This record gives sequence, C-alpha cells and structure tokens, in this order.
Amino acid sequence: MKKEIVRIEHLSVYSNGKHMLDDFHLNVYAGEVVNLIGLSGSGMSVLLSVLNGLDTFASGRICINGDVFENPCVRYAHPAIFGISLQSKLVPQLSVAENLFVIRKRQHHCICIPRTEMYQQTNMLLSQYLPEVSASDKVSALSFADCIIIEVLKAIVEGAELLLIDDVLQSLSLKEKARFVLVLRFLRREHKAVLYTSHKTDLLSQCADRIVVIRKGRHVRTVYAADFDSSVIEQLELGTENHSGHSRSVALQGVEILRFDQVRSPGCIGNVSFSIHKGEIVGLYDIENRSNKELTLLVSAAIPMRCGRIFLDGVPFIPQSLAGTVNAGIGIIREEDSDSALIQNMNFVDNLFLPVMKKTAQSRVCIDAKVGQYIAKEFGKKIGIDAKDYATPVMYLDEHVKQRILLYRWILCRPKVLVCIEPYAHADILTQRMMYTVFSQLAENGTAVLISSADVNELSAICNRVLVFSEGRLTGERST
Amino acid sequence: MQNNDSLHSRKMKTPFIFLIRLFIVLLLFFVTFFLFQKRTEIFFASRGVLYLCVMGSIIVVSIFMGSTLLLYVQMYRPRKKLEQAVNKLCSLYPDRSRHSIPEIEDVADMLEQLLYDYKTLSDRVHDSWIMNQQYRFAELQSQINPHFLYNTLESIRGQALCDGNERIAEMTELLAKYFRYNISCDADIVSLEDELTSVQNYVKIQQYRFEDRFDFQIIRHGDTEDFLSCTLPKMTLQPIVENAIFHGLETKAEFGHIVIHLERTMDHLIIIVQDDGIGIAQDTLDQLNMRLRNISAVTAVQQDGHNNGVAMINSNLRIKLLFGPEYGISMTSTVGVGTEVEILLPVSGAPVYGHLEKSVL
Repeated sequence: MKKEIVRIEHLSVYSNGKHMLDDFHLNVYAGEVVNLIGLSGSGMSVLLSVLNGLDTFASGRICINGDVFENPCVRYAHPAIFGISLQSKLVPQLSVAENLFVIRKRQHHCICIPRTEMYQQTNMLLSQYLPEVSASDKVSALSFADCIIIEVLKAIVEGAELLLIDDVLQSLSLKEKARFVLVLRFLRREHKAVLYTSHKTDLLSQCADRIVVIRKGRHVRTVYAADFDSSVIEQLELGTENHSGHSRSVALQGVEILRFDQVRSPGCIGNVSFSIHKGEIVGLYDIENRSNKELTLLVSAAIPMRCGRIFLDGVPFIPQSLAGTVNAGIGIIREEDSDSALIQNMNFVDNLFLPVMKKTAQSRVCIDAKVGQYIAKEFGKKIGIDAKDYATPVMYLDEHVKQRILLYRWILCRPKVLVCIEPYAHADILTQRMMYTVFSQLAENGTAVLISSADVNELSAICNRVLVFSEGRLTGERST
Repeated sequence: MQNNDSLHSRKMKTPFIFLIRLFIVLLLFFVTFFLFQKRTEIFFASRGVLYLCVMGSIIVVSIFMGSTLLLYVQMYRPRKKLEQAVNKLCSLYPDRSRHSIPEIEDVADMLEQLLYDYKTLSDRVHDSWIMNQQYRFAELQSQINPHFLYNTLESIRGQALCDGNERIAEMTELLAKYFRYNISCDADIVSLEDELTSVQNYVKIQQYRFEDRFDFQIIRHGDTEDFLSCTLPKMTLQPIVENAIFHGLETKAEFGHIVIHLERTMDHLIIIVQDDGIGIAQDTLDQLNMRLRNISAVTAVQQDGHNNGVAMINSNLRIKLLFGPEYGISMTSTVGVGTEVEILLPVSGAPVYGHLEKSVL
C-alpha cells in the first residue's frame, strides 16, 4: 500500500494581487519520483518555497507525512522535507564527511562526533551513490553534479522523506544526467520521495514515475510513465497559446568571421581549430559538457587563453576582458547574466535603448524619444511584457522576462559574433523558441552565432553545424 | 481531547483546593496563637477576650467552610456534570480531535463549538437526505417495471443467439447488466469493483455505438488488490466517463483513449479519469470548477439552467456530504489535449455521519 508523503489540496498563493498558485493539488508517495513541469512563472518555485517553509499560502491544505497544515499566513518547515536548489547548502572549504555529519540542520545530542565513524558512514554512502568521490575530498574540488549528489546524501543523513529539487538538474550534461538517474533509482529503493522541477522534458523526465504539468499556477494533468510523450507535455505546458514551430535559417556562405587556430587549454581543450562564417549558427557539443563550455568561456574572456590564436574578422583577437570582447563586436549570452547585464532600476525600454542610443541620436547629440516609443511598440509584446509594466524597473520583472530583454538587446546591437554559453539551461519552451527566432534573425542579418549546450537535440534544432568534442578534441562535425 | 479534559478539570478544582488550603492555614494560625497565649498569659487582659477570640475564629472558620460547601454544591458539582455531558457529546464525534480547535478555553467555548459542529452536521445530513431523495426519485422515474425490462432483454438476447447475431446478444446482455446495477441495486454505497464493472459494461455499450472509435483501460497503481474492496457512492464514475465520451471524444476525428488510474494510500482512494478528447475551454472549466467547489447549496444544481456536468456536480456533492468537504471531484483540462478528473475518497468509505444519522435525526 502506498504511503502519501505529501498531499496538497486546493492550494492558493497570491503575490502582488496575482495568482501564483490557484486551487493547486498534488500528491507524492514514498519511493516515487515526480517531475513537476511548467513554463517559467507557472508557480513551481512558489510551490517549492511553500513546501520548504519559506513562504505562506492564502488558502488550502497541506498534509506532510500525516501532519496537517491548514492555517494560512504561517510558514511550515517540516523535518521530513529537504530542499535542494541552486543556492547550495554545502560549505566548500569542508570535506564531504564534514558537510554531511557536522553541518546538520538537526544536530545529534552528543557533543563530539566520532571521526572514524563519520568517515566510515560517509564512505559507505558514497560507495553507493558516488563511488569516485572520497569522504575526505573537499567540496570545492567537486563538480556541480557531484555537489548535487552530496546534497542528496545530506538529505538521507538528515532523515528526510521527501527531496525537493528546484531546477538544478537541467544544466547537467548527458553523462551527469545518466548518473543522476541511478541516484534516483537508489532513492526509490530507499523509499524516499523526490519532487523535482524542470521547464521541459529530458532524460530525467523519462525515469520519473509521474509527470505533473503546472500551468498558470494550476494543476493541468498527471502523465504516468507509461503515457510519456514529450510533444503532449509541451502542448500541456503551453495550453491554448498558439505557437508555431521554428524553421531553421539557411546559412549564408559568407566570409569567415571567427577562427580558432590550435587553441589549447590544459585538461579541457587540445589543439582545436575551426572557423565560423557570417550568418552561420554553429553548435558546440561535448558529452561531458566541458570542452564546448571552455571554448565559449575563452572567447568571452571568462578564462584566460594560454595557447593558440583566435582571429576575429581576419585580425588576431586576444580576449582579455568582457568589455574588450563586447567592444570588439562579440556579443555574449550567459544564463546567469540577466541580473548583472541589465541596469536594474531602469525599465525595459531604457535597457534596450542604451545600445542604440549613440547610433540613433540626432546629430550624435540629442536623444530621439521616438526611438524609445518604437522600441516599446516593437519589442514589448514580443518579450511578453504587459503595457502597464513598460515603466516598471527591470528588477521587479520575472527572471525569464529579463532573459528575453537581454536577448533582444543583442538584436539591436547587431554584433559580429554572438557567443551563447548554455543559453537553454534554465529556459522554458517559450524562451527557447524565442531564442531560436532571435538567433535566426541575427544570422539572417549576418551575425555568426556560436552556441555551447549540454543537449545535442537543442543544438540540432537551430544550428547549421554542430561540432562534436570528445576528451578535449574535435571529433566530428554534424551538418543539420 | 484528553489533554483538554484534564486541563478543564484542573481549572474547575483550583478554587476549591484554594479554599481548603486557606481553611487549614487559618486553623493552624489560631491553634498556634491559642497555645502561645496559654504559655505567656500576658497578651490577653481577661479570659473574656480569649473566649471572644476563640468564638470569633470558630465563626470565621465556619463561614469559610460554609462558603466552600456552597461553592462546591452550587458551582463545582453542576459544572462537573456539564463537563461530563459535553465530553459525552464530544465522544459522538469521532473526528472531533482532528477538527476541533486544539485549545478550548472553557466549557462555554466547547459547547459553542459543539453546537456549531452539530449544526454543520445536521445541515449536511439534511442536504444528503435531500440529495438521496432526489436520486431515488430519478431512479423511481426510470423504474417502470424492471422485471419486465430484464425479461424482454433476455428474450431479445435469446432470439439474437438463435439467429447467430452475437453482437446484438452481447449488447443486450450488457444492457441488462447495466440496468440491473442501476435500477435493482438499492445500496447507496457500493464497492469499487462493482462500480468499475458497471462502468465497463457502459463503455462496451458505447463502444458498439461509436464503432470502436475509442478504447478504455483501467490501470491499478500499486501491488495490492485490496483497493477493489474500497467503497464509493453508487454511480460516481459513470457520469464522468459519459462526459469523457460525449463531450471529449464524440467530436474528435482521431481514435480516442479513456483511462482510469486507481491509486490507494493508507487513507485515501484516488481515482483519476483521463481522456484525450477535445478538452474544455478555460472559461467553461472555471465555471465547472467553481460549481464543484460550491457545496453550500444543494438545490443550486437544479435551479441552474445548464445541464453541463450536472451529474458530475451531483456526484461531487454526494461525496462531500457523505464523507466531508475535503473529499470530492476536481477537474482540469487543456484544449486539444484532453481532460482529467480526479476523485478523492476516504479508504474506509463509511459516511462520517453514519453513526449519528439515527440518533440526531
């Protein structure tokens, strides 16, 4: 007989007079993996913060492990629930064992923790879930995927019954996702329940027992593992909104714009040479998501270039700073950029107007107000901002709206090359489609687009060519 | 509940114990005072004063004892009786411990709460009775002469078999089974197994009508079979499946699917009916959900001119009235993808007022 770990009944949450969750219902059983899927702003994060005891609700009822919470305006943090989000709870300077047993939410009654026992228990756990890591390894030396697994182990040590994983698994590479599937299987065997959120279906969705689709704060449908169909789930996410599919642009056989010549980086890239032409969209893929990411980070000056040369428009180019790279005509899109790249106390029109201000100024002195009006009219609807929010500072807008503003800013800038570092990692279907449109539009205008992603299917959908890397070397090229 | 009782008992006893303690202290004071006086013989000027003091102390002590007795007879004893009566009333509500306010300040609050519970419960019983009567009336309307109907259907089946027409024979048999369950079965609460069998019969009849344009599946999640013995109000599933066929799949050009998912937990039976029909527009769905949430007016269903989902709203009302407001039907849909209806029921399946129905009404 199934044991219900969480039952949510008729849950409603409001924020600024807006329904974040509307009569939402969901249940999760022990030993079950549930994938909650929805677009950005559909209410997934709100639901998780209510369950984590970080937020209150307006009406409804939550039953956690038999305890009933029905008093709104009270935050309920239940010991049976453990949340994993992008903000890691691990201390990088400490070892894995210390993170698991010393830093704990609910401390033991004893004052001293036996070191040998602690390391033995950690090694025992690691042998099941993460055999390549040792208990004495420092957390700072581990990869992002390893850190997530360590957090899962921490949840087990804390005796949690339900793990809430908020949007952290989407940026994992295919190899890391495959490893996490095994972790989910272990958790299932241990009768732990897992509720994780994502914006679209992937390898992990396929191993979930149920997929619950949420749209505009409402429960839309439960899709059981046997009925899994990514196109149906996509349709459920979008609802009645009409969105046509993307048609890939034909590459212009133009001049070479960016060339990598014998580029090397210790441990990640070994003597890589390739070139990109004007109006071409090129994808970089590595099953471990290392070489591709490293190359794009090199161009964006996030990491220093040690060996090899890069030519931009036939001229040698050494990326030294982000500002220098942008000034040279290379646009950068990084998922985490939306906060730093936009001026938070300006509205979206001003943020879009900034890059074209100089170009459109009358006699290079007076600002033309009509340009602002044109931008608001042209891009407001495309970005998905309500007319009443035109004057709202960017800081008050949703994260996905900020991403879209950033995306459209590059259209106005018209860079020579646009380098995108995992742009789809946390993007929902709508933003992803918008990206496809923007990339196509830029390519049609002669901009070369270089995209690095952990998902080859996402690259195939938009790119003219996908360069495949393996163990630091360029092993193949796939024309799409 | 027990904690509350002990708390109230303690509160009741406190003044009584205080008076007894006061009496003992005063008694000790006077005895000590008397002994002290006997030893020194300085304090009192004459023996008359001494006797006056003794008399005075006896009077004071008597007044205290009298008032204590009065308080005991007039206040404590009646209050104790009232508390016992309230406790007895509380014991009639099995879910009282779950739904009651954890800290009831005094007996008056408890009584107020109980009266509120009683009123809510009697309203529900009354509403349920009305619903039941309406349901039975509808049944009676269709119950012209069941035996005549069954015999006729049996004759048709026999003739069809003689003529070698197995399709008609099977259809007639399914129809007879369906009517036998709907008309002749008097029970309000039936087992899930019976309800599912009836739904299967109904679907097979409809599949004949729609020339197998859709399929029907029942999927049990979990490795136990005991959920088939779970109970639910009769005819809960059939209106939902009927809606799926007529509003979801009838106008769909492609082949359709109806799936019933069954989940059983320690406390709940969850039935999810999914179809991949044309779906319901958001406005209509909002209206339906609003009506599903509104359990206050039983007659609203009849007064409303619409027929959309009336049977389902009736089923939802019956579930809420029988088992409590936390149970019932909820509905979600996406145009072009399909509709999902979730029914939440308690595992025990016993009406919450079952034990009170006879005593209260």
